[in-house]
Parts: sequence; structure tokens; C-alpha cells
Amino acid sequence: MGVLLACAAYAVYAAFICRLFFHILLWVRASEQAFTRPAYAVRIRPNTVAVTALDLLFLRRLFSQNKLLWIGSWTFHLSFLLVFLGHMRYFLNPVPACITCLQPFGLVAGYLLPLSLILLLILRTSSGKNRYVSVYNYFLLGTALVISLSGLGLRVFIHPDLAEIKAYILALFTFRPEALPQSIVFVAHFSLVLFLLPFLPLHMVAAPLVTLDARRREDELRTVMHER
Amino acid sequence: MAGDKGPQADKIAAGLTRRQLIEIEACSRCGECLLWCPVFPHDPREEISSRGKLGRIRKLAGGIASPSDEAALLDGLYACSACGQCHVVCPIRINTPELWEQARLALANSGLLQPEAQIQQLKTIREYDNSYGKPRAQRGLWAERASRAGFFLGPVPTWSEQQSEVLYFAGCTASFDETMQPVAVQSARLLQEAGVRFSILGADEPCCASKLRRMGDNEFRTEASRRAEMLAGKKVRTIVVSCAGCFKGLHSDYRGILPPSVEVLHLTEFLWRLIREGSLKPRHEVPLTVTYHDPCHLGRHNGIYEEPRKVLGSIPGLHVVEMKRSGPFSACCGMGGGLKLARPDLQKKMSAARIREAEAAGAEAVVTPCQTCLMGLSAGAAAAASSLPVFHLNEMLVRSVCPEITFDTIAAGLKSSDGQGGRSAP
Repeated sequence: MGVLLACAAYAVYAAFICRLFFHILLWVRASEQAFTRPAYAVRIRPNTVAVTALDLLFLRRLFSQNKLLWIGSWTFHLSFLLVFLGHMRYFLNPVPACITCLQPFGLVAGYLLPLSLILLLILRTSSGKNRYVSVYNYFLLGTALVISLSGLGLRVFIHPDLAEIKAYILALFTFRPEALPQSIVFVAHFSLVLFLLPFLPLHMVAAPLVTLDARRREDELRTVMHER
Repeated sequence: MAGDKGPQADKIAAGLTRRQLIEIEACSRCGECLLWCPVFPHDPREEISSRGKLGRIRKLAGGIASPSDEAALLDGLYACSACGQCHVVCPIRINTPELWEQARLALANSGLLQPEAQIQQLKTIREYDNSYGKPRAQRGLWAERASRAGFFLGPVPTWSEQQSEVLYFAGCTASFDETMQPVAVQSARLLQEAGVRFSILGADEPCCASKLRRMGDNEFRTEASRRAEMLAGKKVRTIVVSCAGCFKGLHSDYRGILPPSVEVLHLTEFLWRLIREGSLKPRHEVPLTVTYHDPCHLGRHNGIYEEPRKVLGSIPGLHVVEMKRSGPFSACCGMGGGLKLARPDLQKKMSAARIREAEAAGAEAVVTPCQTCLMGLSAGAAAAASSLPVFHLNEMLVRSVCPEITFDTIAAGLKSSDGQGGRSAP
């Protein structure tokens, strides 16, 4: 079982790296501008970068449209980030001080993460719009919810042997897979993460570029509008 | 992920820009686009939404699309008015309107056929230099007939007769569609009322060819360059455009093609400038409560929301109420992006829905500054069995500045002028 999970983990990592590599190759091969509009090209200003960062950090476009959805979405992203950073203590040895400092926040985020996912599910299913939520949405939200709940369960109720888990993870990362930890809930939690990874959208990688480009286009439009 | 590439995949990927290939991966699948899409309520299928289209383009570019994915993408791409609402509401702000146009182009280049009605429309534009399939010589007839009928304060010269810095660009619809010619006549008259020294191109006015870009035609850039060269050669300083589609074409699509020294303004921008300067004075009361419909090409695509509202606000007695969806969130009437040609059923439903929204706002009439939206909304009023009148913005201003030339008066006058031996089309 341990070997099987280790093989699955390596396969998922390899697929993830291949997927990224494939996309980067596609992007590099693509023409810079199939349809060029060079005359009014506006340089990206520091202000544009700052505004883009605020757009991304606070999901400002969503805030202007749907406050409840924004609460759910923003809480999800923030708590996911904190939980992810909190998990770094299992992957790094020695654990950096900054990761140790984040642990209390990670604990709070561990509670907020499933709550935000439940809120998102409720909001999406109660919108009344026909097929607003796709099967893919249900799959992502549902799997993430089970992962977050199992993680919370491990932390609050089950209290597995963390030293054993950390040793297993570190061994996996150094290509010396060891026997599986005893906790079945941990095995399920870890397996589900591996299962979800190939299905994660790449928007976290692409969103900053796209949002920055949108802000740059706005600057460009302001440059060519005559009345402002 | 890559799998075996389909026969079209390389061409699709090569047809998209690097930025667009990154954009298709930026979708977080949140579904906001779907909530706001004006087409989706009338055809609630995933492939109609931006999320659905992006998913299919991702598959095509990644070489894992099935024939059913290709069919679904074609269906979704052409059942889209490219209104840009999905771009406005996208939390990541994916530039969807340009993506759809580029994808249409890439699909056409890869051999996937577009709807027959669109192919015919593009053929007509290339053959006749207008979307109506009428001889070019007829393009300036609206001015000749209106002049004969006495709707102008003086002659409306062609550029060859009077080389002026301001050029009024009427566009195909207001030039050739008899029901829309009053828009061109009122535009010219309002410019005269303000004392603007301007000319028109008459029979030399080209089609802006923006429909080629909207529908994914490979020849757009060549055609646009040819037209831009002609316009630049005239040493015009300002081009005033009364059609939102032509404005999007000349102002946005020609960016980098038309010299930056040429200022392209929508009529409402120019009219507001004239009102602000005091050259044009709305005098007579127009006691009416109206609601303003933002054309997509003017609002979402070019950020012109204020000027038309300021023009309406300057008219004494006129009261403007906003619809539930206005400004950047204004619902599309369905006339853009070749949707009316590909799916006329959807266009009717969309414009009917917009009319019902205007009724709910408590308006006595809908006003729009685009003749294409005017046509679409009028059809929508008929489809919704609504008695709500739809006016061009010019009509409101004309009622306040020169009430003797209302839309209906001009329409009747042009008809009789034609009947009295107006120059017939060759």
C-alpha cells in the first residue's frame, strides 16, 4: 500500500510538471501578437502593478458584483494559502521561523477553509440560475471540502503521530519511500490531495498576467480617449 | 495532458496569441460569466457560456478535443454577441471579446466552417464594400435626398467638394437602410446647428470592415489598412461616427493602423463637446421619461458611458431613469458579433428581455445612440408585444434643438423625395 501510494504521488508530481512544461512550451511557441496593435503600446507603470496586486489580493471585481460570494471566495483563498503555508512544516526540515509563526493563523484558517467551501456551495446551488454550477465545480468544491474536513479532523480529533507523518513525507520527497503512517484518515487525506492535484485549474499561475494585462489595456484606452 | 493532438489543434494554438493561450488557462471556472451572460438565459447550455467556450478552446489547444467538443465550441462561439459582459464580470478579467474574435479567426483558418449566413455577409462586404449588398454609388443618397427635402440648413458637402477637418462617417446602416437613414440626416443637421464645418465622404465612404474582425475574417487587417490609408490621405483631423459598431472599428480595431493624429469620436462625444462649448443649445422642452441603453461597443468596449447621459441630461424636461442593468452591466440587445445572422431567434429573445427591463424601470421610451441597437430593440419591442417606443439619441436632441425634423418626418420626407425622382440606384 505504501509503495502504491508513493508511486501514485510520483506519477501525480510528474504529470503536474509535464502539464506545466507542456503549457509553457505552448506559450513559448505561440506568436507574440497574431493581431498587433503596436502604435499605442503603453508601458506598464508601477501604479498599474500595484492596482493589479490589489485586484488579485482582494478579488475586487468579485467584491463589486456579489458581496456574499466575495466573502466565501476571499475567505477560501486566504485560508487555503494559510493552510498551505502551515503544511510547509511537514515538508521542510528544519522548519523556518516564519512558518512556525504562521501556525496559529493556519489553525484558524483550518476552521475557516471548510466553512468557506460550504458557503460557496450553498451560494452556488441556491442562485436559482440554471446550471450555474458545473459538474466540475461540484467535483472541485466537494473534494476540497472532504480534504479540508479530514485535515481538520486529524488536527482536532484524531491527533496522529506527526513525527511519523513528517518522516514519511520527507522520505517521499527524497525518493526513499517508507512505510505508510498508521492513521487511515491521514492516508485518505493525502490520497485525496494527490487525486485532486491533476484537476486543479492553473489560474493561480495565469491570473496575475491576465489581470495585469487587463489593467494595462485600461491605461491604453485612457491614453486614446480624447475627453479624459 | 497533451495526449494526441487533433488535426486542428496546432492551427488553433498557432492562431491564438501567447497572451490568449495564457488567458485560457486563467479561468477559475467560478461561473460568474454564466450568471451575467445575456445569451445564456435564452439558451442555457454550458457551451454558450464563457466558461464552456474556454474549456473547449483549452481542449482544442491541448489536442484532447473530441469532434463533439469542436461542434460545441462552434455552436458557442457563434451564438455569442461578443458583448464583453463576461470580461466585465470575470474576477480575473480575461479579455474574452478579443479571445472569441481570435478563436473565430483561428477556427476559420483551421478549416472549421462558420455559419452560412455569416459567410454570406462577409462575402457581401468584400464584394460591395457594404453589408447591404447595394451599389456603392447609393451610399451618399441619404444626404442628397434629405437636402432636396429641405432637412438641412445648407448643403452637406462631400469631402471632394469641401475639404474640411471634420468628417462625418455615417456607416453602412444609416447610409443604406432606409428605415435608419433619418439617423444620418439628424446627425448632419445637428452638426450644422452647432456651426461645425464638416463634410461626408458620400459614395467614397468605405465600409469600416469591422464586421470582418467580429466574424473572424482573415482579410480584416488588409482591408482596414487600405481604408486607413485612404482616410489618412484626406488629412482629416476628426472623424465623427454615429454607429457604435463603426466606432469600435475605427477607434479600436484600427488602433495602430490609423495614424494617431486622426481623432475618432463617437457622435455623442462630439455632441457633448459642442453642448459644453455652447455651440449646440438644447432649447425646447422634451417632457419624457426615458431610459438609456448602453451599446456594448460604446460602453463596455470603449468606456463611453457618461457622454451620452450628459447629452440627455442637457435636454430640458427630459428625465432619465436607469434600468436594473446599466453601464458596464448593461444587457446586450443581441445585435453584435454576428449573432443575429447565426441565431436570429436568440437576438429576438435578448432584445425582448431588454425591452421588458426598460418597462420595469418605468420609462416611457428607450433611447440608444446606435442605429444597430435601435433596430434590434425595435424588433425586441415587437417580439415582446410592447408599445414602448425606441428612439435614437439624436431624436431627443433634435426635438429640443430643431423639432421640425423628427425621425418620422425625415422618414416620410426621404420616401417622398425618392418618389419625386431622386437619383435611383444603378
